[in-house]
Amino acid sequence: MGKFTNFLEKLDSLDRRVIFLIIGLVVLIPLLIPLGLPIETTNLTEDAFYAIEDLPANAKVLLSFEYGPSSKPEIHPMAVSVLRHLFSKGNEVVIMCLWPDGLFMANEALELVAHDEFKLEYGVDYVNLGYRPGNEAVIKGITKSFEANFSVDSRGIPISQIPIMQDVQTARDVDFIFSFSAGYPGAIEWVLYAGDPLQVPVSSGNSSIQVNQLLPYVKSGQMKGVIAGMPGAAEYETLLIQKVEGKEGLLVNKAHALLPNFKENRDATKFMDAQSIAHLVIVLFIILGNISYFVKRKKQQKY
Amino acid sequence: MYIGILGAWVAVFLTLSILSYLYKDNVFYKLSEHIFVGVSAAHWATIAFWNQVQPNLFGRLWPQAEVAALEGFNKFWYGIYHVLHVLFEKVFPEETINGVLYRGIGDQPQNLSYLIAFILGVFMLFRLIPKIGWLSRWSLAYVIGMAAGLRLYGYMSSDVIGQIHATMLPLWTGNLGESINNIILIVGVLTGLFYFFFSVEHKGALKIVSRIGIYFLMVYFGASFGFAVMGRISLLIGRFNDLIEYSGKQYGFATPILLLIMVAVLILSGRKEKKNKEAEA
Amino acid sequence: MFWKRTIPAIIVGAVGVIMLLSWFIPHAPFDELEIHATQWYDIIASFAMILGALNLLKLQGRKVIKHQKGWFYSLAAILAFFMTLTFGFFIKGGYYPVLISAGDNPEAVYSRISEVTAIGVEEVRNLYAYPSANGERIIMQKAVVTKRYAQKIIEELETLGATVSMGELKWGSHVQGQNTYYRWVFYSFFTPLSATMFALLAFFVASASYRAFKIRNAEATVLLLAGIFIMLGRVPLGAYLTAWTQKISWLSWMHLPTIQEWLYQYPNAAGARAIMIGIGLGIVGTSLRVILGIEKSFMGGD
Repeated sequence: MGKFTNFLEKLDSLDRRVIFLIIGLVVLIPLLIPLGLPIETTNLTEDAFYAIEDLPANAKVLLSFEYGPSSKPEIHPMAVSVLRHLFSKGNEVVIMCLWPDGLFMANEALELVAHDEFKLEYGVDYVNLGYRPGNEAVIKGITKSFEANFSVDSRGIPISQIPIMQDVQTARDVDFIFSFSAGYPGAIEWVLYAGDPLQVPVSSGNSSIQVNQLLPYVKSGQMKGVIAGMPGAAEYETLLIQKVEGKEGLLVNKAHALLPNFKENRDATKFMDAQSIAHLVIVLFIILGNISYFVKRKKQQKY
Repeated sequence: MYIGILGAWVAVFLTLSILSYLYKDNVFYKLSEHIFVGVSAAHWATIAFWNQVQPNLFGRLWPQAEVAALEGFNKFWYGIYHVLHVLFEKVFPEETINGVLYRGIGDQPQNLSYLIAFILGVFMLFRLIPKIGWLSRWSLAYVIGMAAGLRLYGYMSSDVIGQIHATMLPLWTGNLGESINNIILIVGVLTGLFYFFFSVEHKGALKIVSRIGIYFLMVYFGASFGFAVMGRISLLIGRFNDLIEYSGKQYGFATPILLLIMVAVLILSGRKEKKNKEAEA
Repeated sequence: MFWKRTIPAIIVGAVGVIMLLSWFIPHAPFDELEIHATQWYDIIASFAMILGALNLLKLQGRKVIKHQKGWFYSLAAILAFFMTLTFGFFIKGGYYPVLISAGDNPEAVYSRISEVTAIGVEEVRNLYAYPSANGERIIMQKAVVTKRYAQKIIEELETLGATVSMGELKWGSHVQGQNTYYRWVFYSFFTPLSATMFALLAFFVASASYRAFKIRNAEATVLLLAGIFIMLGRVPLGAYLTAWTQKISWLSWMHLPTIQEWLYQYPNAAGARAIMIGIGLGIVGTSLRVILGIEKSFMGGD
């Protein structure tokens, strides 16, 4: 018993590089050998999913990309899923970016979903207006005029010449705002400067760190659900596949044919095994750290 | 996304260099850190310029116009544009469409008041010159005044009034579980807010109220910690996924080769350092 | 004093009041003022980004010139800066062949396009059959970057009887174009660096959890338990480990995701709302102080 308590005491001063190595292995191994744990959906994600699902076929949705490579693993899978969901229903999509890196993320998602999968027409079914610096001032600006803020789109085409923008003059003319956000500016600014003042419904997909800050808006109805980090993205992927498989709700012809694609390219779901094991190991670290702390404290109290 | 084999090797080298910091601070990490700083600064400036300054500022000062139709002040004004075109052709393009020469950018209506925005922008850059750096205060004042005006209403409406309104829940809804949850929400918000109220001393019954508030806040911080862990692990998963992708044949086995090289260099340099320290001692 | 402190104070007050009033008065002149005021803000914000870049050059350049400690790394920063700037402003790439018509020998043309773009011949055939926009049948944008290579492909396809033109991304849209050097820099340099810097934190969070997260008192215990429930309850493993509780009705509340959901939606939400109201009041107070000229710290010293 003495040896065991000594061992537990020594654990308190464990070289942190051992911890780093364990975390590295714990994340790497499930990526190479997946466990296939089933995904259970939560209310938050379901609310966001059905908020989009309940939009009519002619609804125009404004998507805002506010994330970059540093939060891509969490948010990009949800951006892809939401785009798939919207295009599966035949909705038109207007995209803009409040982060410079969001421009690249948006193009990557559009290349995969709009161009490669759904083969949609740029300017008619969707448009990428590009990035504008100015944070919340841009959001405030588009509540009055899109054209004043985005004189040209990301390809340099004047927006007066883009068909989808003909009846979208201000943010009031869209039916839903969805923000993919990793920080500032992001979902909070969309609620404060567009959602609440214009009474346009807002939802968002966020990095895990930001999710807790948004909960009060969800509880008060100022936001319609939230896709919370990578687990939320995995839940959204699951809900989308269930919808397309079950042919529920509005569905364009192409969507069912793309189901194998949706099942094959599910990054968030793929990563959830590694996420689960890593969380378990960190919880075990916390428990072990506390056991070692109590052992040490008890020994000190004895003396 | 197209990056090719060279791009993959660069990406793997930079990723492993940053991760090498976990072992100890080293040349690879310092080099990558500085490259990051350089690339980021140039990246943000470039994107801001091409997405805002060129189309929305220069595009409003000089919208596209037919050169032959220019007269009066605009003839002189677009003459300035032509000089800028000669100096910086890519930023100030000229176009010939069906034999007609056009100067200018985009189709926004001309608005010369944007010269003030341009001047304020240039004043911002004067921050680099100590003698006239004080002019940047005018630009900062504009930015700060704008932000203050926007936020005062936005936060009051959505964060304060909106949230207070949402806290006004019925104490009894007919369902026990729902009623308890509502009471928890109301009590939690009131006691949590009270914890930060320092105008009265927290003693006696008020101390109990404050302590209850702390516990609700601790639940919030604990949940935030849990989400923070979740977020960080997700990012690590993304990096490892990319490293696994770049270890394949189509990318020339970049990951294993570079990993072996880096580990060898770090071990050898570690040994050399140790020998030097022993020699000094 | 007047130019350095009074004028900025007047600007802050005037702009702040105009923006505040525009919330309540959506009519002229405030609606037009608001549109242009926000645009001016965006433009000044862009110059602030350019200022950041120039400031970096100034600081790192000084280190290199004076050969201060670590100047070699500063040189690397400057070289990386100019590399990115070169691809942003001087060398674009972004050239691509555009197939207008496949001519009399379409299969050979499809085959060559398939080799260039690495997509199947069948898909090339389908793309060609798709209705054209502006006469452009197939845009080979992903696979080609340089003008020389684009010209080479055009000549090869024309030899096979196709009608091909040269497409080029405009300056401005090139920063996000598929086949530009700038995009290559973004994905080869910026993306791995940015992503890995943040991914490092996962290791430190694990180490901090082990070393610093100790149950010293009741508050820390509550914090810890909340964190553990969220960490385990939000991932599939938590649901998997407690799936057995769903089979026993009186134990169903012990399902980790259920506990996590309740904790998250009620006690946690209460704490979050309290913090949000507190922060909101703080921001309102500070904004008012700034507009009224009471808060002048942003101006710095004289």
